[in-house]
Amino acid sequence: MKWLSEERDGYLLGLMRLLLGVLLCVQVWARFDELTYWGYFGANFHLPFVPEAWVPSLATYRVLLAIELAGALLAVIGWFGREGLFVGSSIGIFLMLCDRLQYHNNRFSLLLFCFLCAFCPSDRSFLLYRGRSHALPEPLRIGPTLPRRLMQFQVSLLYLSSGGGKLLDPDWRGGQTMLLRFQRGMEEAARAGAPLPGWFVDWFTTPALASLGSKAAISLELSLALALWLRKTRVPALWAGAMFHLLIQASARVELFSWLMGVAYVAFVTPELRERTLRVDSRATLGRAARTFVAVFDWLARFRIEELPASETGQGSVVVVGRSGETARGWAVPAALARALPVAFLAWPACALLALRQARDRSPTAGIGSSAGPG
Amino acid sequence: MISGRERTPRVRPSVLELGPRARVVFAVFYVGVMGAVIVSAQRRPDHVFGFQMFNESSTVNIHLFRRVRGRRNLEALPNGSFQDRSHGVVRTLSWLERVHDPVLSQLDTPTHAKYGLEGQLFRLQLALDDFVARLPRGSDTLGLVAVVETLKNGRDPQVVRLKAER
Repeated sequence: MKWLSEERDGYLLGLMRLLLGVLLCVQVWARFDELTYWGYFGANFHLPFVPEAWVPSLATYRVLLAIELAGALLAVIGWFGREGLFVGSSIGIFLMLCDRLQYHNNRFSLLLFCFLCAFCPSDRSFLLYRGRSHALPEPLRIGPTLPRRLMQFQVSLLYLSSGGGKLLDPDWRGGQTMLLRFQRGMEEAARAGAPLPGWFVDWFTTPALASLGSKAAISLELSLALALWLRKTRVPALWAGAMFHLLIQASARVELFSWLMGVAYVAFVTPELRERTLRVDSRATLGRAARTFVAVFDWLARFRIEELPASETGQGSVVVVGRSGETARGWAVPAALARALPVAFLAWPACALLALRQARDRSPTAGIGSSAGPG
Repeated sequence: MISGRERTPRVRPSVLELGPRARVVFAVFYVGVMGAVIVSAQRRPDHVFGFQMFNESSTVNIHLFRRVRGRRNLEALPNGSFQDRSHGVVRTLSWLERVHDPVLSQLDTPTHAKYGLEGQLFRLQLALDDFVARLPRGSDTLGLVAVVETLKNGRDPQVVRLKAER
């Protein structure tokens, strides 16, 4: 049982702690807003899971929210960040148990990820209070990875439960539920003063399209639960999941859910850092541009940046060397960069296809195979 | 985490750092609890804690009435408020002042039944019970009746009658 005792670099877990802290701050802030707008839930009709006597008074509720916010802020700056996440998420879960009317899938998911992240070695990087030297040296960052595996499990469970529920529902399987969502989306767009063209509305609200969309959504959710775990399918699964959540974000009110899943996906990124090398010819404009681009957007620390050896300068100004030492040139370079840089990740399939096409036109030794290492 | 005076950075021991055996126990416990929570969510009418995203596209249209002592017909409450008389004292009571839920507070308007039709009817029954339980002693309001027009995923229109009596 290697994975029970496995220890890996915790650098990316620090990034997750920081981002989850930001999301938790936003969520708590929204609850303060709701308190102002809707009033204190305990003074109105509410449905607690816990005994009524445990439901806090208004004053205690405010204090609990303030502590939750403070915990989230500690998670952001990294000073007692794990403890902050633990306290913040525990309070959030307790308050959710005080009124089931306030339950939202996305809020519960965020609290669970925060809770799990508190048990990860996420206190070894992105320690903002330390300034530029925010990360501990690599040997000190190595820590147990079992809690990270639990975050991955939580992602799969979420997809499995959501997709499984839809699969068991005949109205979802058949497309009826999706059709009504499409129709409501069109009506809301019209009400918001942004009516869509008639031909598009007619096409978009056909039962056949809704049925197809339903089956695609169910298949995607169920397959993501597994594909994210397999090395060969992980990157395409992450891409498909990102597209899926962007579509949901554009078509439904899901609060922070899309952002949360983006953060949760970091748990699937290979923990080891800078195992790929970007080699650039700094005398060329393209080389300098690539160096700057990667230096700015390599948030997951995938690349080491080096100067291209003089012996290789004739074969292009930017080269990516993969984990196994294979070299990417031409279109395989943007494909390798897009695969590893979150900001360009959505462009990865297009770049990979272009690289594949170029590889076919070239000699058998060059091409996309060089960029096909695991994420 | 580390002090600025220290030469060598070190990891601050955290109370949340579990030992090898405790980690495994924690993982088994977490997986077990989550499994139980999700399985049991299927039995809760509103499937809370079950990650059932967008589970239905159903609608409810809630019409509220009250049963008044000495009157045979129900009194409609279009905006949820009414004049209640108890021991000669008249006071205005309002459904909307007690029930702030975005679905249950929508009266006489077709509203998306978030978390499913069954879930909203379950919540509505509890809201009626809660409201009636808080009526003043001697109130001339004997109970509340909600007549709910339901549409499950755009089909099968039905009228459901829920009531709560003192």
